[in-house]
Amino acid sequence: MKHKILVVESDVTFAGKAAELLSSYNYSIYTAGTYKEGFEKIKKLAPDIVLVSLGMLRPGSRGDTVKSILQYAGINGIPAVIILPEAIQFPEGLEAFIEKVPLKTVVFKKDVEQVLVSNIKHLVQQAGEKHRQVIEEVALLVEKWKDKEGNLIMILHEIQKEFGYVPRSVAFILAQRLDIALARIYEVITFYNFFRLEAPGKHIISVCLGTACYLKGSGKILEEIKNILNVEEGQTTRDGLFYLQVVRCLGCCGLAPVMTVDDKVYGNMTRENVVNILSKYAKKGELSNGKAYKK
Amino acid sequence: MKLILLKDTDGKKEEAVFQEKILAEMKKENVQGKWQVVRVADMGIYNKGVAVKILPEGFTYTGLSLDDIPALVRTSIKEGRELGEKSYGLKDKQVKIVLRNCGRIDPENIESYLESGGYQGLKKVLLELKPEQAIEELKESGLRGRGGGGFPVWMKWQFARKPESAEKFIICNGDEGDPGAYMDRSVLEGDPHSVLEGMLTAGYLVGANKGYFYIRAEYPLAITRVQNAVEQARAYGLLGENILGSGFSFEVDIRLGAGAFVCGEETALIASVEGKRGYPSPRPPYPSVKGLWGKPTVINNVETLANIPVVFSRGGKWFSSIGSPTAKGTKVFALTGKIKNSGLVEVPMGITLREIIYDIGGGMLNSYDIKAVQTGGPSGGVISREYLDTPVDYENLQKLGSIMGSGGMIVIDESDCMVDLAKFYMNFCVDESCGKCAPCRIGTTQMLEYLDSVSKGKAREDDLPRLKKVAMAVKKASLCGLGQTSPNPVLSTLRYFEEEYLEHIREGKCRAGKCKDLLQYSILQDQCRKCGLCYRNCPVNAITGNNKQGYIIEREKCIKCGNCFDVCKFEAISRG
Amino acid sequence: MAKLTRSKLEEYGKKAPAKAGRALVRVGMSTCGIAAGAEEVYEALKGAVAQRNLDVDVRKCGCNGKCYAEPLVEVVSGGLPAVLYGKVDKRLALDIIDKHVINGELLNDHIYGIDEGKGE
Repeated sequence: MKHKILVVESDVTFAGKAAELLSSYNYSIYTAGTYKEGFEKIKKLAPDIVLVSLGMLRPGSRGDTVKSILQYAGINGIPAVIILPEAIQFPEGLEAFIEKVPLKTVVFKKDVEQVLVSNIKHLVQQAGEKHRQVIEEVALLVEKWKDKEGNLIMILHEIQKEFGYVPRSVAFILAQRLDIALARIYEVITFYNFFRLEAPGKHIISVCLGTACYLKGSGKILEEIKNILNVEEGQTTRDGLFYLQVVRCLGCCGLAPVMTVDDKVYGNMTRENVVNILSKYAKKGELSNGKAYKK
Repeated sequence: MKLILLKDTDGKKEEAVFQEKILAEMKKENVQGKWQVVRVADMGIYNKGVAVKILPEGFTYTGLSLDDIPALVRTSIKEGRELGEKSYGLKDKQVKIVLRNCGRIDPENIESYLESGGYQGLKKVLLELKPEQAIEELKESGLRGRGGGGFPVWMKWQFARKPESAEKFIICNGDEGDPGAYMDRSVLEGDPHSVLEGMLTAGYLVGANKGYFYIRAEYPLAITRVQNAVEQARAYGLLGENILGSGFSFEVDIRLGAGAFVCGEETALIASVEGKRGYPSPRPPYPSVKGLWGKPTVINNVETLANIPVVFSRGGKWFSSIGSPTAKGTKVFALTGKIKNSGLVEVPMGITLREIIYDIGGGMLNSYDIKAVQTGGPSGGVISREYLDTPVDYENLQKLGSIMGSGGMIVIDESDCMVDLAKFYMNFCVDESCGKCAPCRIGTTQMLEYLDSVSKGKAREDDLPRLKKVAMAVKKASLCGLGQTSPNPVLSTLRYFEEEYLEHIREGKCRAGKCKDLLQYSILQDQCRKCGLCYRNCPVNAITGNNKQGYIIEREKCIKCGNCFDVCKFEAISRG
Repeated sequence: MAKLTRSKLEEYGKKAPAKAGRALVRVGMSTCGIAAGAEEVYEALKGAVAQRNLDVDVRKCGCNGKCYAEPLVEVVSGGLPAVLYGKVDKRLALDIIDKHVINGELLNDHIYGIDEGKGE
């Protein structure tokens, strides 16, 4: 299987060069000419590695899209190579942000040729290792359920439990293993609310909008969380810490309004104690000063 | 040990005074023996003044004044006779059949279930009755399905029993989809073996050797406890080959739902157990003839199955002595909303809504009056307060435009807007419509659009007949139960609260203050103490000013979240 | 584990509910109870019983329906009827052991139900 590498760089010669350098190693190269395109493609292609050049940053830009790309890569375990031209000035906050990206390598543009190949080989090995692990895990699951009819939903439950969502790469493998069309799998995933197609943040916040909770003001709790975290339902905060979702009844109507963070249930919620509860999961002081997630 | 319990059921906290008085009187009367006088937090009696209960005799008195105490102590405590005039005649109105073990036995231990009479019903069916006799017993009990439709259970089983088939299935529907009902979760978590026993009984009588628990994935604890119960039953030989030496073999498996309301519908549920999209299909053929993998299948909900062991251990005749003429036994309701004692109640069929709300639920939560009761979730409707004295059973609720459903009972007060409520349920139905048939897919969206425009004050009066027309079309033409019942919240709110709709349309007013777009917030300057609390709590900085000059709300910026209104301690924010 | 037989099951049926002298403390541990803090209460009760070296059976059970008063703890001991305590926290849990279980003394203001018939 060929590994997919996404190159986010407008400099055609550079992208071409990278392709040339890497072509002998059995990689497929995909390119994106803008950061926005890069963000779309990383979601769509689920590449094994992403190369992001900072050479396209305009003066005064805060590098938000670059952050989105790196964040997506981080959450999904895609190794990132950040290519840093010598002359570039880091926008405020970006350097600190890059520091936090897991599985990353920073390459300086002047020695691209020397460093790139060895770095990428290393990352590909890592990615390949991870890929193999996933294949084995899926194989085990399929083995466990293969004799039971109507097993697809149960397998998907286990996959989501393991990965937090149903990654596209895993769905591919599953289709092969079960010898069914990929569409059969996506048909089921997209029908049921429970399954997610994108990685949630580290902590999953579920706000109950069942009738009892709704009448007792869970709408306001939801608004407050959206305000504090600056996210909408079904979204993850920029730092990947919180994922916000709405659920229909957790079966704790006696404690309405109710929300959960991961497996912990919080009953009799008030708008005022939202901050306190979320603060337990955020870095100290980050939420109480209210600035962490503001636009 | 004699226990003297007391409680001020009006909530005026008079208990301590009465306790002292009773103690003093008892000393004076020199009451012998062992006794305790205890203030309790809840006596199951509400708004009846100071109440005293004496155990073990069970004498109960309400509406007591301090002057009544000497006589009470002398007669009832010292001499052990009942004191006539203040005696409280009413008994606990709950009857626990389904919840008989919940809160009593250890759900993780099969021994605990066996010790409280578990698997005796199954034993009787497997070893003592002929299948025909057992079905007859079930028929005599009058047990009807508790999942919504109220179809007689014996008939469902009989239908599935008839066809010759090498394979038949029993499915336990634990996909409790009604947002506001949670009795199934509670039973699965608190008494999983009773449901399993119900499935085994069904399996034997129908001729099925395989059962499936279909449980919501959102109920992890229920899943764990059922798994555990299944393993224990297997170890005890209550699952597997030749159960109790009867020659009957049965196995069960667990399948998880994945968050689709439509899967509460039998045919959709079957598709989901088969691992497919939960699309419903037209009936007939009914599942009892052609169900899971095309084989005869019985689907019963959790509560129904939990009734089965009792029907057989105590007999159909006993069972049918409880309830109303058309509905036997009990129903568990999840009593929630604006009610003091929010929780699960199990009552005999035929009890009135008023009794449930005031005698068991303890009355309203806040100072607002009751406006209506909603039953049956998104498939049900609201019942206006004029009908609180209606006996609750399948037919009566249907006549009032609602349904029994799975047993959600939500109490609604004057601070709730009926248009907003109808919109809430319609939003749910739009989200949950599976999209297979057009009337439901398009109709629910159209209804939502009308409701939305009413709540924004943008509707016209002649939109209401149009809304009704769409509702009727969806009701008649939809493929499955979800679609057919989805207009109920709209039709029932229109039936009882049309004037509220008209108020929104004609006057642009929402009397409950729930429809955001019709609200304007402003600060009443003469009430305002300039404390700045609203200023600090506004999420969008729409309040400007300072603690010297006071504050104003900038209308263009205001998102009408109501935070200022909620936090103000001086009622200085006007909403209207 | 031995398989259950007909006669064994019949024995269970005949067995009158055990009236053992051992005190029984039940904690409502369904989703709703746990959400309200029942786990903490359960641990506190277990801890207190162990620390005082008491012969008390502390058990998990399901939800009795009084969700408004969770977490719920029911005590059956010393010939007293089953007493249901509501809104129990760690401190109250200790009181329940020290006063009710050890001394047979019912606690004021926390009882949400007394059931004469349902002691085991």
